Amino acid sequence: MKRVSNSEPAAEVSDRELVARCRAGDEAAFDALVLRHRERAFNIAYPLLLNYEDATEVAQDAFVKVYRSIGGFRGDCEFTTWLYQIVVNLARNKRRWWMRRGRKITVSMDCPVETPDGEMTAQVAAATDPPDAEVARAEFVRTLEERIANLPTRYREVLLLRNVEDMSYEKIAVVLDCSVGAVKSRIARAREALRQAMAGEL
Amino acid sequence: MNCPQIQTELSAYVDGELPPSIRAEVEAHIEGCAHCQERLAELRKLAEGVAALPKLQPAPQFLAAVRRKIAHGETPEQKNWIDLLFRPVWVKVPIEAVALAAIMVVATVLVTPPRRNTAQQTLAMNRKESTPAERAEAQVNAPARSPAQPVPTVLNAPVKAKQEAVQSGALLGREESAAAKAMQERARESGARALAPPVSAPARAEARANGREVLTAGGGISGAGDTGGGVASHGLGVPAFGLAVPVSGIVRYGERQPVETIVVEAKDSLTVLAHAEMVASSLGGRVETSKRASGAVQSFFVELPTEKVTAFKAQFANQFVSPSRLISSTGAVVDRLSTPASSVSAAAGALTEGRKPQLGDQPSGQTTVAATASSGAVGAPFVDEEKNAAANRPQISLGGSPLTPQAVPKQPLEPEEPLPAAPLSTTVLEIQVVTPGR
Repeated sequence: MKRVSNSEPAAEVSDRELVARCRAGDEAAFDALVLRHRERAFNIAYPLLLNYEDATEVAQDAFVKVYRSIGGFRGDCEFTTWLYQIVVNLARNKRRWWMRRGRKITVSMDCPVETPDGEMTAQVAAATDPPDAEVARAEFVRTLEERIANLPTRYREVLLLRNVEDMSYEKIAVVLDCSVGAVKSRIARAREALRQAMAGEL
Repeated sequence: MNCPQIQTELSAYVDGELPPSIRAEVEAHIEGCAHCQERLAELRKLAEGVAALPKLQPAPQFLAAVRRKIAHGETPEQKNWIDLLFRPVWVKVPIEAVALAAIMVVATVLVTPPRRNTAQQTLAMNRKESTPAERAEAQVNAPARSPAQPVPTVLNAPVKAKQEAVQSGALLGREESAAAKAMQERARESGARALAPPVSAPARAEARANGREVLTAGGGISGAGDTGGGVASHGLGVPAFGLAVPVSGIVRYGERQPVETIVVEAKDSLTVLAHAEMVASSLGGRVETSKRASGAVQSFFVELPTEKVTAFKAQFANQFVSPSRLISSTGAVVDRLSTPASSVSAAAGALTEGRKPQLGDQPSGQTTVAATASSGAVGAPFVDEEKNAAANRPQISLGGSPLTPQAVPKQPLEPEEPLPAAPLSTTVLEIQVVTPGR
């Protein structure tokens, strides 16, 4: 799995320590947490919302909430688990906010993503396969992303947390506030739905 | 495990989330099952594809934006008042609708004064001659028969009840003069537009509670009982006597709209009819009966020039010789004379004015009269009707004391007056005869 490289300072400091310093009032520690996890937060929010501005807003709001609630974070789970929990909940609220206003959420990977820096196409993680295989894989991932975008949100959530963030079922259960068994069955159903959606591609 | 069971575990197997025992079982199955191998390969490809989904760089100045939001005190998920009130629509709107309906019901109940006595209670207290069994029946039947009593929406006007010693009159001839016919036609025209009569639902409830049946012609009064609206009655009373006048509904009797219903308790309805015809004809009015299949008259209409209504009611009550009991407007039965040859009781209505001109085109001076037995209290307020009419002043509600014979003014029959050439307004009264013991 390709990860966006972390070049931010204080990367060597553990999340736990940063959280502790943040709770002690160290503003720089909070900044370090934001810089370290902003991409993860955003890349959880974006596939759920499929809208750049909304994903950015949700990710930023998640950190605002972290800042305000860090005093109550007892460290029962990893910071990332807590952060993802906040992001997922904010993204759910944002989606509800859309649904109330009749906004449809569909996406096509053929459409470039609007960012403040201009248009950018969805970038598939680089691979070391031969060019032909790389092209085929890129096409597969592009199709997969489009099909995932049309899955129910509850399926997208578990698939993203499992395969994008490589979270254990236990952590996913914490993030989604459900049981491990529910996570297991939901992931199985999500994959089955995705398998059927990708019937011609597999 | 068979293939379907294995396949349900394959997803967790791909993620390495199966306990060792199940994992071994799955692996053993997969080795010999090409179908499950294929399924496993698909799931792995999907998982890898999801993991390889493109990632986007967050917006530049992300941290600055977070800091700005923190500094500005922004709260995630800020909701405006519309969100608070109406969203989600499918949750809040139904709740709010139910709450609003409940508030309206409560408000209606609070605004409407309670009926102080239910009909059966009043009657049970006042029917001295009723047997315990009858009282029990009344207690049981009355509420059961009137379950559809509408929520009262009208302030019950105090009841004026008039009691007069009356005598049984002979049946009068029923020929109607041409003038009377012409008047009737005009009355029908105006009556079609006339305001509805007061509701006599309480009176009916009372009669039902008393084990009697109150019949109405055409069932119109029943409709009246279900209609709300109404105005405070315009009593014309003098202390000591009165008629009940809650104006509480609008009734359309086809062409005929009685504006007042007088409930008379009598064993012989024909006597009442004959008396009413006699009095009405003497005042230039007429009587129209509504015959039942049995031939008994339970309800009939009296059409009168509006200005004669008061005189009619006075004389109508006067003609009954020996009423032993009179059902006051509240349903209280007041014993008057010791020899009830023909037990006649009447709850008459008082004149009211100023009702809402709903149907419009009502000739000015139209008198709307309502009678009902709804005030509820024993010994309801009585107001002298004749003096009321003369005074024509706002309603007087008087503490009810049983009528005494001495207090009853003897009202001679008015000499018949020539009908106006074209009476502008007529009033239709309904007389309901309640037969005891039914």
